[in-house]
Amino acid sequence: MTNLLRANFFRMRRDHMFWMCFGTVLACSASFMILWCREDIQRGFQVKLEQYYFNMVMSLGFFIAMFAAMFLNAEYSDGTIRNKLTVGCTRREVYLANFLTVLNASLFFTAAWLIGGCAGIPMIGPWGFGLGGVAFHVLIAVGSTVAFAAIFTFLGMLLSRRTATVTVVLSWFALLLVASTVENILSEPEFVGGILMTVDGMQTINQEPNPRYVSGALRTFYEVVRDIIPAGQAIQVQNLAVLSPLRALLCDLGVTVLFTLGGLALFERKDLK
Amino acid sequence: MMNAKLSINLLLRANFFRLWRSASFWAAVSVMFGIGVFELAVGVNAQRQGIPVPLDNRYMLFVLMSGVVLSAFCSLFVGAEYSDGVIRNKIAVGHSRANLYLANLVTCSAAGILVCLGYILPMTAVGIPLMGGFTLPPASILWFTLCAFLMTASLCAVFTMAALLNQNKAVVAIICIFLAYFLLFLGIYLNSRLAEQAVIPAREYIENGQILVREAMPNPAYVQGLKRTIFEVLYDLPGCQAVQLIAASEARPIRLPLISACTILASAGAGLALFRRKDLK
Repeated sequence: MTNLLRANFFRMRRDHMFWMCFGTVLACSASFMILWCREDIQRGFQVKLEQYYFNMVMSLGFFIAMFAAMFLNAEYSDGTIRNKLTVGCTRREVYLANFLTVLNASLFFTAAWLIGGCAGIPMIGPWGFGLGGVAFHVLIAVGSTVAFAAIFTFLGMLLSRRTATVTVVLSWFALLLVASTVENILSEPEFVGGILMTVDGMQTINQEPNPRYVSGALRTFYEVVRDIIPAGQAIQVQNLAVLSPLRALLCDLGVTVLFTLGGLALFERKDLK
Repeated sequence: MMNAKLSINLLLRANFFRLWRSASFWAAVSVMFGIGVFELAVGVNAQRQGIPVPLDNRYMLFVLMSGVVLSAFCSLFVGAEYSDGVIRNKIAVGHSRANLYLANLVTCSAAGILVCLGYILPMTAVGIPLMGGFTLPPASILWFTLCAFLMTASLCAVFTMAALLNQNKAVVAIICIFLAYFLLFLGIYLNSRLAEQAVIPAREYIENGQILVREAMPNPAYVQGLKRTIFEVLYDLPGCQAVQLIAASEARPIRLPLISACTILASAGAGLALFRRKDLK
C-alpha cells in the first residue's frame, strides 16, 4: 500500500491536469476576489471578506472531477492497473491508494482556494466572523470535497470504458443540478404578502401562506437530501447558511464510507480484461 | 483523381449511420428529453398552485443545458474517429481532409439540433395542451427557436474543431465541457452586470414617522464606456447568448443568429486550416 501511494503521489506531482487544476483554482480564487473587492470599494460598499471568500467552494467539485477522471482513466488506458495486480498488489490496496490520491489532490485544490481567497485581505480586511467562523465553514467545505473524492473515485474506478471521463465530469453537473433544484424548493418563503408603508413605519398586510413552501416531514427529507449531495453542502457554505453542521458532516462521512465500501466490493469482482 | 470521385455524401451517410447507433447520441437525447419532462412538470405544478407560469418561460430553457450535453457528445462522437482509426481509413480510401472535417461538422450540428428536439418534443406535444400554449406570437417563438438551433450548431462547430485537432479524447472531453460551463456562467455573470440601471430612481421612505425623500443618484454598479462594449460583445458569444435567448420577447434581434453563423464560419475555417496540416500519425 505504501509503495502504491508513493507511486501515485509521484505520478500526481508530474500530472499536467493536477497542476492545471491547482493553478486554475488558485488564479481564479485570487483574481475573482480582487475583482469583487475592487468593485465594491469603487461603489463605496462596506463588505466583509466572507461574503466572497466561499464563492469558489461550488466549483471545487468540478476540478476534483476533472482530475479524478483523467488520473484514474490513465490507470486503465496505460494498463497500469493490470501491472499493479501482476506484481502482487491486491485490488483493495489499488482502490484505496487511488482514493487517497484523489483525496489528497482535492485537499490541495481546497488549499489553493483558501490561499487565493486571502488576496482580498489587504483590500477589505480579514473575515468579519473571526477565525472560528472561517474554520467552521472550511470544515464543512472539506467534508464535501472528501465526499466528492469518494464519489468520483467510485465512478472512475468502476467505469473503464472510453466514456468514463465524460461520465465522471458530467456527474458533478448532475449533482449540482439536483442540489440547486432542492435548494430552490427549500428557499421558498413560508408566507407571501404585500408591504404597506404607514406613518408608524413598515407594516406587512395580507400575509398568506405560500403554496410552494414545503413543510413538515417533506422539508426534513429535502434538507437531508441537500446534505447528502456534496454540491448541496457547497451551496450552503457559499450562502453562509449551513443549517445543521453535524448532520452535514455525518452525511459526508456516510457518503464517503458508502461509496468507498461499495467501490471496493464492486472493484473486487470487476473484469479488468 | 480518386479524391474527385469520392463525394462528401458518402462520409455523411457513414456518419449518420454511426450516429443512429451511437449510445452517446441517444444518451444525450434522453437527458434532454428527461429535462424537458421535468421542466414541464414544474410548470404544470406551478400553474395548478395558481402561480402564472407561461409555457414560453419553460420552453427556451433547453439552450442552457444543450451546450454542456453536446460538449460531451461531440468529444465522444468525433473522438471515436481517432481512437478507432477511422480517420486514417477514410483518408486511405481517398477522402479529402476538408470533406472529412465538414462531414463531422454537419453530423455534429445536426445531432445538436436533434438533441434540442428531444427537449422541445415533450414541451410542445404535452406542454401546449396542459399549459395553454405560448403567450408570444408563433413567429417570435419560431425565430428564437431558430436562433437557439444556430447557437447550438455554432457550439458544435467549436467542439468539433477541438475534437478533430486533438487526438486525446479524454482531454478534448474535459476542454469542451469546461468551455461549455465557462460560457454559460460567463453569460449569467454578464447578464447580471449589464442589467444594472444607470440611475437609481428617487425613493420615498419613512424614518421615525417622517417621510423622507432620497434623490435619484447614479448607480455605481452601472457598467459604462469601453468596459460595457466589451461586456456586450462577450454577451453575444454562443453559449453566453443562451441567457439572452431564454428571455425570448417579441423583439427579433438579427445580431444573435449572425454572430452564431460567423462563429460557425470562423471555427470551420480555422479548424479546417489546422486540420489540413495536422499529423494524423
